[in-house]
Amino acid sequence: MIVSRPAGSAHRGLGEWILQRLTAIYIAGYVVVLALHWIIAPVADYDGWRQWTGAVSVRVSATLFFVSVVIHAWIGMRSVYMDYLHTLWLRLAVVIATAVMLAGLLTWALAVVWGAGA
Amino acid sequence: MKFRIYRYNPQTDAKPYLQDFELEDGHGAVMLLDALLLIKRQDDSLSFRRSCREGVCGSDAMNINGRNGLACITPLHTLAEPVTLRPLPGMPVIRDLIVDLSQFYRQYREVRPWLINDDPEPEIERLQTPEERARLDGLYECILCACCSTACPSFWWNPDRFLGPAALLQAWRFLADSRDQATGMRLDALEDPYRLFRCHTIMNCTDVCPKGLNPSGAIGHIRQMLLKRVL
Repeated sequence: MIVSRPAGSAHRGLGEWILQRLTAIYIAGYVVVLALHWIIAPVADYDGWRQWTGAVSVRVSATLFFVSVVIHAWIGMRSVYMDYLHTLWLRLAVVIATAVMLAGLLTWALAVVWGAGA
Repeated sequence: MKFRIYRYNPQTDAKPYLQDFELEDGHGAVMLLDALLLIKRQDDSLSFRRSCREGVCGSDAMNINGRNGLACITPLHTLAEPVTLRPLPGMPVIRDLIVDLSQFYRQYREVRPWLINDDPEPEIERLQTPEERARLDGLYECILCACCSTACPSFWWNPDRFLGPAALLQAWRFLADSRDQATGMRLDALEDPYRLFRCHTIMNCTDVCPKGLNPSGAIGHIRQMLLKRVL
């Protein structure tokens, strides 16, 4: 029989919940603004792309975008693991693997955004 | 009218099975519970809970054609045949349509579903304005039938740690009560990745509630209250 564990409250969870929503808003806004920008002012050629991606505003907004995606994915994936993975060592292993993967992806994305032409 | 009913007697059956029953035309039953009582005359080993037969006690909650509801207030003419009846999902079955709700009640108790007020007890009653009283509408009507919590996947996966929609609706019922003085303590007890934040707002609870209540909305109010506390 299942027994509830009245371990009390962990006094957290709200922060993740707020971050999940804030990052979602930024991701959605960024994608829409970017799409509109490309429709209104299409980038013509290689030099145009170099110039556009070299702008600090583009790099900062892209950095915020990738950071948001990683935070959003981290909270979301952890939530999925909390729902479905009930074996502690397995969950811990998967959580660590996810963290390493997301950190790698973020490093890669930032290297791309801040790399060439800087 | 054809019925397929989940049968399981742990003392004699190796595993559960679905048994077919049929009621002749002109049986006279209007609600599903009436039909169940007629079927029980055919086979008195069929077990289910019922009491008030008018949607007030919450005893005859079951899974009706894949959807949780109360047999006593479900009209037969709304149901597709064969009417398939199963116990509430995700709960240990005691026998046939009867499930063990201990876990559900334990989570209910966790939210301290009573008024906490340390002031001296007044001569007659603790007064509220009509507006304050109106905030409890849609909350106090819960009959604890467990239709919502047992329709919630988060409650299926973590019934021991997620409080479930029914308990959270009651948590909000006392947070919303102007006479209650334990708001801080209640919020502290709710702020937890499992207890409250396992809810992913899929709204199965609001969809199935036979009393038309909105546990999903109540959970949203609790989150807003937590948010206001830190902003």
